[in-house]
Amino acid sequence: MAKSLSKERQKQIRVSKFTSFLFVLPYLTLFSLFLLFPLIYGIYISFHDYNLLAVTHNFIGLENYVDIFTPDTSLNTQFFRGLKNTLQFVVYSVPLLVIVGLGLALLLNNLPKRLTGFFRTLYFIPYAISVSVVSVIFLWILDTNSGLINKYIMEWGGTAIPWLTRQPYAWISIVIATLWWTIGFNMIIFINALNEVPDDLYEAASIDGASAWDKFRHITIPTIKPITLFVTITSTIASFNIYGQPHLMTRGGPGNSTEVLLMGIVRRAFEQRELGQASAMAILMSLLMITVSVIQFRLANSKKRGES
Amino acid sequence: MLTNEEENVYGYAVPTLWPQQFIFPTIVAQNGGSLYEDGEVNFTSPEVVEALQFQVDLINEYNVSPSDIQQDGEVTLFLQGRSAMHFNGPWMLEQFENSELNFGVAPVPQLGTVQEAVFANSHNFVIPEKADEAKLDGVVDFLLYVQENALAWANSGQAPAMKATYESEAFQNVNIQSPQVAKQFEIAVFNPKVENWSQAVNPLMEAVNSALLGQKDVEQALEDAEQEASQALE
Repeated sequence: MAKSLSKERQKQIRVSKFTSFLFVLPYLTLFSLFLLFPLIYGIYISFHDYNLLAVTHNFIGLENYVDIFTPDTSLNTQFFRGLKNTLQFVVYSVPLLVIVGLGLALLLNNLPKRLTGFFRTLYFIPYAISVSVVSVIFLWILDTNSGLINKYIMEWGGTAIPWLTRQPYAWISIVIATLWWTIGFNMIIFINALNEVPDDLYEAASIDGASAWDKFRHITIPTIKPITLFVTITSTIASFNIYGQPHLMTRGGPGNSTEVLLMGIVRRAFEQRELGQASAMAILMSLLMITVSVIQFRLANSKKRGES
Repeated sequence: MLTNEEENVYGYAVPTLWPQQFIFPTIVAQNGGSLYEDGEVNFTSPEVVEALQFQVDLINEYNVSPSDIQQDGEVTLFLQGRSAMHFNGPWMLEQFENSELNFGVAPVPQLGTVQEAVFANSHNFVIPEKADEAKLDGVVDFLLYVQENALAWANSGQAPAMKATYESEAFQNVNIQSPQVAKQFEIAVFNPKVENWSQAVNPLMEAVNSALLGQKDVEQALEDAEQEASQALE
């Protein structure tokens, strides 16, 4: 039987809720100002013919979106070329980001305890650097004629590799730079996930005569499944958002083979000043990313049902 | 002979990205050509094709430049003393001066076949159509102020718009590059007066990049660029 709460208790709850609200308020303010309102305003702009220098911005409904899908317009070329290149990068980078992240985490967990902290910091440090610094570092290391790597390759008798001016090396370089930069984050998440797996599961398996590979396949992998899904989805979203590395390392080259979608959107917005069209491109990109995330989520959970 | 392939030293490393935005139109103008003619994008005209073919030949036929130069690769080569000649604006000057490089500055030579010319760009002040009349006096005051203090603009490596400024004593000492650049003001060539011209330049630069990297044939690259540029200007 529910007893109604005393006046004292009710007041306590009100104060507690209010204090919680005050703690959340700073973040809520910043979130609304810099994420929520711009998102809504962006959707609003995408329904208008919004050139930055034009005096009037007419409502045109879905026309921007239709133009993106109309073949042989510059908007269409820009959007789908960018999308194709962004998707390429997602396909090349995400599996590596997940697998190498897990691999590093496993490696670190099997190190002697006193070395774990040191290597964990070492692998995480690149994550703290900005993308401009990462790009300049790799620009210099990978320089065809003056770079560190080609210098050693040539000393050992090989021919210089055009890391940033020829495919597939350009994509390889961008993926490697991205991996070096962000793998620390995935690694840390996986380290935590691995530490959460109960030790007695491993012990029981050992008693039953399971090999290390068996343990990995049948205990580790299923138990960290939710974390793996989380890392996959966040890595996918991060890879969709790629901009800095191809812009700074290859300028979208060679030709336009690494011109990613976000580069097209930035150009349309800040060079052509067509905010309506750029917003429509950005909204479409977001919808695509949401769809991909939902698909990944569904796929992962449907398998779960199959296994039980 | 400035090039010595055995020692990895080159006469002139051809950039494949920035600053071709300046170099390429310069050579086109020096060929007596133009990128836009009679309301049409003009990338496949003989002068433009020759300008690109010339630079491609520097790499492949005359071998005075290494191939596969990436963004800023030619700057690194120049800094290392492995590229004898280098075209650039004021942006890298401080880096060159701070290194121990032994270098000097001269006006742009004639690489084209017809005349001397140099491509120039500019920063502009713009007054919107619907500007408040009451503010216009203030705008004029500000413009006069900028005019009188053009030397401050020159100190940042930019070209001052006032003739009096760039003919002054003070300007000759601003840095080692600006006075050399000023010698070319009479032969400066600007962008065609087309709205949104930068959208035509993007495909052109992609074509220059692809051709210089040997990944596209010169004529094919310029044809594709012409098509995309025309589309972009619609």
